[in-house]
Amino acid sequence: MGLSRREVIKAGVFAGAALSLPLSRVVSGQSALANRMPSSKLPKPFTTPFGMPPVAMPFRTDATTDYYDITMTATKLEVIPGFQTTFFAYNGSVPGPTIKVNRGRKVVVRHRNALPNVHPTLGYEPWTSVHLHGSASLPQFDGYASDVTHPGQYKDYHYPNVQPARTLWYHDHGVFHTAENAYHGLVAQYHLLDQAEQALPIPHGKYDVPLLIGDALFNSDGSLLFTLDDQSGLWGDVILVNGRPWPVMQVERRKYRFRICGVAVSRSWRFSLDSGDPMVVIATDGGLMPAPQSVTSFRAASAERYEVIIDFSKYPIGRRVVLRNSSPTNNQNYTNTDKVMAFDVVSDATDMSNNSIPDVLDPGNAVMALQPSQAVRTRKFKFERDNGQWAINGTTWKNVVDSGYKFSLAKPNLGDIEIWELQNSSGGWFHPVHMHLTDFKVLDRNGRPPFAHELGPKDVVYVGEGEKVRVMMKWEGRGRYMMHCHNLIHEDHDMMAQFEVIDPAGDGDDPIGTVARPSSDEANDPL
Amino acid sequence: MNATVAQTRAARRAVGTDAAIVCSAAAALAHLVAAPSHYTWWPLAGVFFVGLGVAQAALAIALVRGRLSDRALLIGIWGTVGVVLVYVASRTTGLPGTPPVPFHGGRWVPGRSIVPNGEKYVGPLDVFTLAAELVLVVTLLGMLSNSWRRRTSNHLLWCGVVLWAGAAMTLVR
Repeated sequence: MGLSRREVIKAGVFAGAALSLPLSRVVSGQSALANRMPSSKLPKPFTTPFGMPPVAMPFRTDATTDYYDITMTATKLEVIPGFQTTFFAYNGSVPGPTIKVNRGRKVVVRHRNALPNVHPTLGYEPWTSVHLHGSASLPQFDGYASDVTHPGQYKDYHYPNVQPARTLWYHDHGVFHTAENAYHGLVAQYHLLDQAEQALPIPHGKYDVPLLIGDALFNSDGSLLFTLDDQSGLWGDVILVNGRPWPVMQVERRKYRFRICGVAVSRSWRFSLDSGDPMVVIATDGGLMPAPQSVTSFRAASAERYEVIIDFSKYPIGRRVVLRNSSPTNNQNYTNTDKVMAFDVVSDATDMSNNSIPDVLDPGNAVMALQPSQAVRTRKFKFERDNGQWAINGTTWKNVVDSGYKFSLAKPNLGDIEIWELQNSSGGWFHPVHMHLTDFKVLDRNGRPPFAHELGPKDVVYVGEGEKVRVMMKWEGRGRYMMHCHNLIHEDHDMMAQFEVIDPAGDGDDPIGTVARPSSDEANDPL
Repeated sequence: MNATVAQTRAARRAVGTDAAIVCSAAAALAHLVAAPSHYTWWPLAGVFFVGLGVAQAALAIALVRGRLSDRALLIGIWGTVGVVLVYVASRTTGLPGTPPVPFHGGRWVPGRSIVPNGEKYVGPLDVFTLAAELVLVVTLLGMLSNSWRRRTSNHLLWCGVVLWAGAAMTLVR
């Protein structure tokens, strides 16, 4: 080769540019946090008034069913003072409107995807699939990840509401983009009420308060900052409660019931009060616990729901009580992520009805009555990172897709009682594991009893680093459903599998058998 | 020029030719391997990858067969530079008129899904192929006659300067 040193340098200028430019884009993409809004421009904690999501009103009711109409749109909201941020909203609200329904009444929701064809900054097509989390819905109405509704389409979701009273939530579950869509605001609560729960003298009405607790990062221009962080997760520096940063709520000197639902993409929490006083957990994902549990702190991950009673009667008027977050391991924290919201005690109680906590709440809960001796088998599931992919027993959602949505990791029989052992032997991360369709009882964690706050029916369980958690359930319903990690970035990057409940009487409905329809069909398809 | 110097230059030339053959063949293989997935994204891209792979394989074969003319070497150099520039554009500015990239979690998936900036993904195969093509350009440059080598290296320098200037302007903005 006859190149002079000068010629090598000249060619090197070109080669260096050609090699460096694409790689620098990768590096800059990984350091997206560099564009994060400076903390000086973020609101100070406890300067934003508390707010609650609106309550959805059915547009029509009949003898058996309530009908709702919900449209997903991109909308600009001022969350950070002085900045307009584009969110995705159910009916213009972030979080979306709360649906309240009595047990036994059916609900049909027409969900319209009126989102832009392409996300304005992230560049993906925001297809959606709405999952009513906590409902034993039929497979085709369960928000099956690959059953997507594209922008310009709609789908009617039918909910049976036959389970005991509980706090559910509906959120996006569209394959590959659940994290982005939920992060942008497609989350909301859904309250299933029943006579037994309503008859209890626990706080109801205005003292029964939904709290959707999440986090977010903002770019310096006010837009939401979304980063995959090597597909590990997303941890925001702004804590949002019902879409408001570190709000402050005015409370009376009495008991309040808070329906806490973790809606962060990845963050988990350890909640406590700065007063050191206990909170009383009365319900978990699947509804009321058999008995209330008093705790001074409790750990919760995304998608877990805990109904907690805080008694403000012990504080004088003028006292501020702060709900804090002493973060569990494997989260990324910032200056103010140790604070969630504040309560300012402003007056004596104006209503002292429903202001107590019975010693017994739901003694007959069928799931909590299950005993290990009843189990017909134990299945084991390993949650681990496998060749860069988040996998369950070495499989990902790709295996399900490639099989034509037939591949299932487990095929329990209808009516069987089983124990599922969920193991996270790897270090560095936790997995909130969610099984669709079923409630379960947490039996033990690493051989030790579950935490006090987990002593109720669950559908998500926190499987921390190095933990092995055993849960127990009785299989009801039939058909194919998902199980997955509820760190939504893990879920989107394929830590999602399928199980099928087998009913000898017949196959379950096809989860992708009732497809979305184009908006142009609506005129001929009234609800 | 004594015999030892001549022998050394001949040996270097042989090493350069061998490197060019290996790099051209490697780039050809990489493009052929990637062609099916690109076809599922955009048929035109799949056809382009097959054509490119065949052309790079033909260059490797031509190099094995014997010394190439300056004209053939220049076609090889500027053809490869063109491919490199298209790649750099695809990972920086994006290629106008192309459909969204169905890239997810480090692999291709059916449908129209992309992750944020998925189209800017730079994987190990990308880096390997790009490096092979850049080495190919340099080795082909070394095979040119003196006058063409000087001119071509100057042109490559200007290409590099333009790329760096573009990057600098992006940073300023």
